[in-house]
Amino acid sequence: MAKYPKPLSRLIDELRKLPGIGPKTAQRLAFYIIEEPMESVESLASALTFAKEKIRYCSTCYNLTDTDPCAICSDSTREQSIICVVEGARDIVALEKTRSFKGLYHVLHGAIAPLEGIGPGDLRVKELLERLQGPINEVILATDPDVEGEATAMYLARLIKPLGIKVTRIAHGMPVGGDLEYVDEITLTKALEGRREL
Amino acid sequence: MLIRELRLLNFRNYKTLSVQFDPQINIFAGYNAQGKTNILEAIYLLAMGRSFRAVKDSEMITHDQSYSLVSGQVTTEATHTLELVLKRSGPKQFRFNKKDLPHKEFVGVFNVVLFTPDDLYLVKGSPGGRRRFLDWEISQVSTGYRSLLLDYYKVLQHRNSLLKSIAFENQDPKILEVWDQQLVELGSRLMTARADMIHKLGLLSRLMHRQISDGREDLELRYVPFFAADERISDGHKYDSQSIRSRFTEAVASFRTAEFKRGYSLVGPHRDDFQFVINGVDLKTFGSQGQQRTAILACRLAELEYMKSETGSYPTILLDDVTSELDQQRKHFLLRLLTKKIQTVITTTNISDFEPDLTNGAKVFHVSAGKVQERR
Repeated sequence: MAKYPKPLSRLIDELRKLPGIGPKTAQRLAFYIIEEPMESVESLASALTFAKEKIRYCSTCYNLTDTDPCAICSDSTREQSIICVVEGARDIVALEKTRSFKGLYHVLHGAIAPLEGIGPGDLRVKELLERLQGPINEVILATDPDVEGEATAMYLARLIKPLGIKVTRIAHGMPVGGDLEYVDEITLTKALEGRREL
Repeated sequence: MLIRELRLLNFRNYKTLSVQFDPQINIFAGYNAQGKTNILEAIYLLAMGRSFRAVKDSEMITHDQSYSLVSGQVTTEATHTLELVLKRSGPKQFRFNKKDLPHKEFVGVFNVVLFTPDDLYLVKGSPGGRRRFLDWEISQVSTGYRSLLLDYYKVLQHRNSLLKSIAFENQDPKILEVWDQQLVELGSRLMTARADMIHKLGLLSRLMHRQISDGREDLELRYVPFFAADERISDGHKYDSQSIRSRFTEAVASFRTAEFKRGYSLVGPHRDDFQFVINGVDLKTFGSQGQQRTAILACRLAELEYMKSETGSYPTILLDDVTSELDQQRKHFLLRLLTKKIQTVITTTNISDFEPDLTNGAKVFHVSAGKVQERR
């Protein structure tokens, strides 16, 4: 195998640590970076450190932000009485794109998964309960519809319901614009269970 | 449902092979270790996407070759090409009419029922073998079952892991409840599907068995849910989803302390079983070898009818070395039943075990050292 000069192999090793990057891709990226003009490499390097320095968790909802509280938490036009609970910050991006939710968020940073040793103590659950001391009417549980997300939602529902706050779970079911006949059985079963009256 | 043609490349002892099948009876005759069962294995692969005997996929690739191709023309409503590529490294690939397909969608395009000398495990083997049998049967006719099963085992693993940390690291046991809820929810759905399948298969098996045994014996398939393992189950009892759910919930509560002590799940369908019962007696402990074989044959034939009722057409039946398995009377019954109705692929070491009126109407192949020749 070809030996790289030390600085190059160090760069490749660093890039390989990133998610979704294997040895081949790391090599390609490293060669690309080396061929680039100095200014753009410096701009990339400073973007990395700048982002890392400036971005932190919002102390209220634990979304990623450069201001504390974050833009969503400090927006007084949003409904202050509804909190939508999600597993990760990327889920907020997805939900915000819909423009149909006008309340606040809370990011758990994970889901309960005993196999990976993740319990409620490893999530931002305590912080959520503290927020519920305020004037909150409804908590929407928007964790993923897999077994871990489902367990997390059930766990939170058990904690929150006794506080007299309305707890809802996002619906599972049919994709919009989809043909009924092409939907898999599990999704269809869930959709039937979650049917509503017209 | 028919297989028209099978092509093999670098598959076990076949460098290349192309076989055209008869829509009714196909007999592969030859000495031991010539490659008869390899043909059945290849057909089975096209139906199930996995082998019934290879532990690793790479076992099926011809020695010193890097990949192997199994392809078949099957007719369901229309004629389709199914292909499966096995590689020494990396996952196998499934293709349906030249297009890639995930494994779970590949399974069930073409259905088979297999009867082999190893089937005795169904009666005599461990409950795990019988559960696998159930799970595969139901998966073939219901795509939702497979994902339900995967989710269930995911929940089970999480729950076991949690129980372990409760037992040995003093974790707070309260959080177990959310896993209980999913265990019962997913588990009950699995168990309802199993109870339903065994009930249907049981009725059909009984009919088949009566004919094979000339009405002398009564066969029953009896579902034994994990919560009824030590109970005397009455004849013909069928569990409905409601009773399964409530007994499951009770079991979760009553095993709570024991689970905390042991550190793993003691309740759930991963501890289910079923029994072959003749005239009220469990065959596993009290049956003769002949009775056990007959019961399994009846069950396999019932599978044909079961799949017909679930999918609308008969699967192809693969009979591996049946002549060594059954006595003259049962053999005759079997072949009379299969003639004309169901596509059959048989392997045998001795063609004269079959009556001339059967072999005359059949397509007969001679298998010798990886070469297949049609007898005219």
